[in-house]
Formats: sequence, C-alpha cells, structure tokens
Amino acid sequence: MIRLALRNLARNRWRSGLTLGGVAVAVAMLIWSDGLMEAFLVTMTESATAMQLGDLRIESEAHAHDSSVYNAFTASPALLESVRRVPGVRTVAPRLLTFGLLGHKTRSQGALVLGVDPAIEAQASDVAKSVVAGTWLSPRVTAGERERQVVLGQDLASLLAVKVGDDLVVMLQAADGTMGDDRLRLVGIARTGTSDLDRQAAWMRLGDVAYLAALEGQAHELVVRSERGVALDHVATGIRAVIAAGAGPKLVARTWKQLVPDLHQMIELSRNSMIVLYAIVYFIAALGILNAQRMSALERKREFAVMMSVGVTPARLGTLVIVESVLLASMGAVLGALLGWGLSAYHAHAGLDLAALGSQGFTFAGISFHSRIYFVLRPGMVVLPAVAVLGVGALCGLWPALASSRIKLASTISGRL
Amino acid sequence: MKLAWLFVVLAGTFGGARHVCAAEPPPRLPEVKQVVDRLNDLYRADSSHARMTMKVVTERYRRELTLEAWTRGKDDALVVVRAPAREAGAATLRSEEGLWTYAPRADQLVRIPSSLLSDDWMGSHFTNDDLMRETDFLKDYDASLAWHEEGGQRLLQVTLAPKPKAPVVWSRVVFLLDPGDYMPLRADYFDGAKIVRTLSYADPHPLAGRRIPFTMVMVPTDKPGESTRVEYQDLKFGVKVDPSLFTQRGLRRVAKR
Repeated sequence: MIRLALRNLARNRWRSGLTLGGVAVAVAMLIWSDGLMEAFLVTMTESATAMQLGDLRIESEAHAHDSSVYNAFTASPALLESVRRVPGVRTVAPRLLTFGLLGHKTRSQGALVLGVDPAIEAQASDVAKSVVAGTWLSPRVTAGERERQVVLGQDLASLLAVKVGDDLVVMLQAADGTMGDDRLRLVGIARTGTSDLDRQAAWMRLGDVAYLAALEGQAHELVVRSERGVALDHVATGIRAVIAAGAGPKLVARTWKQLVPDLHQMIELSRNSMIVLYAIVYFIAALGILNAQRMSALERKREFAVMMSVGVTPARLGTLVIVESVLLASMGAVLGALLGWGLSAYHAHAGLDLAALGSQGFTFAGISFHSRIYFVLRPGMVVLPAVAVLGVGALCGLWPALASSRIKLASTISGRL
Repeated sequence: MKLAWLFVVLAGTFGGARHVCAAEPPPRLPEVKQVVDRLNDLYRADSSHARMTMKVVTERYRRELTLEAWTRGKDDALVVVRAPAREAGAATLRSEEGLWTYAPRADQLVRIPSSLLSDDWMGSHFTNDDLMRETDFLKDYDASLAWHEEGGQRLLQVTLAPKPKAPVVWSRVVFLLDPGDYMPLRADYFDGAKIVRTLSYADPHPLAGRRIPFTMVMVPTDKPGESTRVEYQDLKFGVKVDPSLFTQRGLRRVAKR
C-alpha cells in the first residue's frame, strides 16, 4: 500500500514536490519563529529578574506598600540561612535601599543607593558582570582603602561627569533622622541595560550603607534566586512557611510575576498570540495539501473507477488516498523539522542580530535589549509542529478519499460525467 | 464726571447692603501690597544673625538641633548645625547659585538639585523648598485679602493663589494676620481643598520697630502627633556679616568651629 502510494506521488513530481516544499517551509517557519519568540520572552524575563528583581523578593509588609527607608527589618544570619535552606533556593542576597544625594565638584544628582554584599550580589544578580569600566565592589575592605567604594550606573556617572578613580560625596538621611555623609571612591561603572538602574543606581557595600543610614544589621529586601528549572511557586510556598515562623515585623515574599504583573501578563499574552500564528500556518499548509490531493484524485478518477471495477474496495481506495497525503505531509514535516531545527540551532549558537532588521537594540518596560538575541531550542518546539502537520495531512486526505471512494463506476469509466 | 458719580452710588449701594448684614461694620481692607510686603519682610533685614533650636517629633524619632544662622541681603543665607555633636558642622547654604548642603565629614559642598527641593530639610517637617523659596510672595502668587472671624477675633486673611506656571507645590496658602500690625499668626498650606500642613507663629518679640514671632511650629495634617518647632534664642538685625561667609571657605571656617 505504501509503495503504491509512493509510486502515485512520484507520478506527478512537480505537484508533490511543491506541496512537500510548502509543508516543509511552513514547519520550518513555525519552529524558527517559536524559537525567536521564546528568545524574546526569556530575554525579557531574565532582564527583569537578573538585574534587580530576582526571582522572588522578601520584604517587610510595610516596605511592600511604602518603600521608605524606615521600613527595614532585621536580617539576622539565622533568617538568611533558613531561607537559603528552602529547597530550590540558590542564593539569598540582602539589600538596603535608600535615596541619597551624590555630589562631585559642582554637580550633584539624587541617587538610589543600594547597599549590597559584593560577593552574594555577584551571584544573585548580573550587576557585577555588567561593570563596563573599573571593577565591581571588592568583598573585603582592601588594605590602604581610605574611601568607601561605590559603583555607579553608567548614565548617573555621566550626569555627574565622574570617571573611575574619582572621589564623590554622598549624603543621605539616616533612619534616625540625622544626615549621614561621607566621601566615596568610584571603583566601577555598570551598564545594566535597565534604564532606571543606569540612571539612578549607586551600589555600595551593605555595611557602609548600614553605617551611613544607621541601619546596622538590617535589610530592606532579601532577593532570592531559585535553581534553574524549579517551579518558582513551589519555592515561594517554602519560603513563606519559613518567614512566617520568624519573629519581628511581618514579612512578605512575592515572586517577580507578582512584583511586575504587567510584564508577566505581556509574556503570557505573547505566548497565546503564538497559537493564533500556529493556526494560520497550519491552515495554509492544510489548504496546500488539500488542493494537491483533491486535484490528483480528480485526475485519477477514471483510474480509481477501473481499480474498483477489478475488485478494490472503496475503503481500500480511500485509505490509499489518505496514506498518500500523510506520506506527503510526513516527508514535508521531516524536511521542515530538519530545516527549522538547523536554522534555530544556528541562531541559538551564534545569535540573531536584530540590527540587520533595522533595530539598534530597544527598550521595553524600562528594560533594554541588546540587538543580538539568542534562540531558545527545546525538542518539543521541533517535534510539536511536525506532529501537528502530520495530523493536518491526514485530515486533508479525508475529503478526497471520501470523494474517490464514492465515484460512480459506469459513468466515470465511460467518461460520461 | 458722570461715570465717577455712578461709581459712588454703586459703592454706596453695596456698602449699604453689607452694613445691614454685619452687626459691627468691618473696617476697610488694607492695601494688598502693604500687607504682603510686611509678610515678605517679616524676618528680613539687610543682615541678621540668629541662634535657635529646632525640635522635631516624628513617629519614629525625636531630635533637637541647635542651629546658628546668618543672612545677608536678599539671597545669602547660611544655617550651621551646632549640636548634637554627631551632626555639628553640617550646614545649608543659600546663595545666588542655589541651595547647597555641606557634608562635614567629606568636607564638601553639594548642590541640592531641584528634584530634591521638596525633600525634608534635616529630617524636619520643613522642606528644602521652604529654605530656598524667594521671600517675594507676589512673584509666584496672586494675593487677595478678606476678613476672618476666629475665636471672637477679627483677623486679616491673606489668600495666596499660585500664578499660572509658578513653580509652587501648594494649591493655596492662607495666612491669618493680626489686623493691627499684620504680624502672622498662622499659615495653612493647601493641596487641593485639603490643608496638608499648618505653620503657627507665636511668642512675638519687639525687634527693629516691629513685632517678630520667635516661635514657629510646623504641623503636618496627615501625621498626628508629629511636629517641628523652631525657637529663636537670639535674633539680631543689622549686625556686620562678612560676605565671604557665604562661600565654601567662609562656611568651612564657621562650620568647623
């Protein structure tokens, strides 16, 4: 039966070839665009979480409503350790956040001063990696270091007209109402890609900010990064159980999806819009197969009538037509899967430069994307479109098959239609 | 001539109507400019030197600062913190070039950018803007006068409405003055139709031929129990003030003392 079907397909090579090609291109396009979309969404999620948000944030309930300097909580080593022990948790980074005034010569700017543990922060966020000039904060106070270290966002540094090695003054209001001030040494400049951070952020050591803001032993937030591939909601449940057991002010833990619901919704929406694209592409591929099979069945009407008159049952004849279209679709699917997988794999490795499409990097929701993005490729993304096209092929064979099995023998053979 | 006569008749008609309503005829309202000038010049002199205390009570902390201040002309002003020791030497300088804050530990002047003008000053309920603002109300506001009855007393009410595009955060500021010498008793600051903070003046002392309130209390309406109280211990007008005081070097000299 399959050999017969193959021979039938081979009889009109042009038509079969074109249909097969159409199916292959459709499948390849689906795989490739899915890879592109996932790349976008993953980049977006990572940009949002990697620099600032983290996967999950623990803060006092008061700070969740009003991010004032006063709403800190005691971040005891015991609390940090118990959160770190929750299964799925990779890193827990304490941070102090306060607004301050930075000055250099006659220039001054308001800044978001972030007190971080240099070593932990380097694991919890990409800030340390995003330093483009100088270095990240050194974990320990180095010998001969007189000024406290600071790393500035790139735009803030240019607004203040400072370069690595320059001295700055910081003034900030401490939690006890006094004014804290000190001299700082600019050790590094970071380009995070998040416009708010680039324009406002000044990273200092946790201890230095705690001293200036009179918040020793305290934190405004604990940023949690989870292990890759772990269900975040699961981790969140574990963490909530741990922080509920602790004493002190009520703490809340929120995932990035809760912190920036807009971004989360947009990502979900994009995923759903892919389904519409799928439907359109399958529909077009289906029309192609249907057209080809219908035409070939019509042309062979007489042949089919002869076959039936020598004893081929209508059911067998119908099955033959379906097998033909499934074969056509499966060959197209395999070819398309290979093509799509190959292209996506290339872009996953080398990245796709969107600059070629006329975009010099872009900003969305305060997160700027680099113009080169790297594709995401999972087996399911290749297999699913290929299998779906097989189903579409089988469906498209149905109508010509039914029509063929119902032809009237005498009038068809005699040519009196 | 005829027109003028008409005005007299009209004025008489409306004036007469008022007479009927009020039991006691309210005196004529004074000139707006005369009243506002008095407000503008309340603490002003060619130069001044003052010592004062500032008591801040908030939900979270309570602090008392001893301050020393100098002014010269219309623009130059310098306030230095004298106590407590931890903050002594911190200073705020107002000059033609804007508002500056002196970081004593870093020994450097830092300009306060306009984006931070609405931030509080030294942890008090006064803002940087309160220190910076031009003392000429008529530049940013349109003023109108009215009589106001309070506690059986007739007070003069000055309503200051910001001029279009004036860089002012309040939607309205209403002063209540003693009708005798126009000394302010209270100022209500409005955001929309709501009073957000009230500044009360008390403890008048005679100085330079006028009465000057030596105590000011700022109370934010939305934070019950909080307040900032400034009391002058000593205020002298017309003292000799060295112009170089209002520079980084001069400031450093007095701040480090």
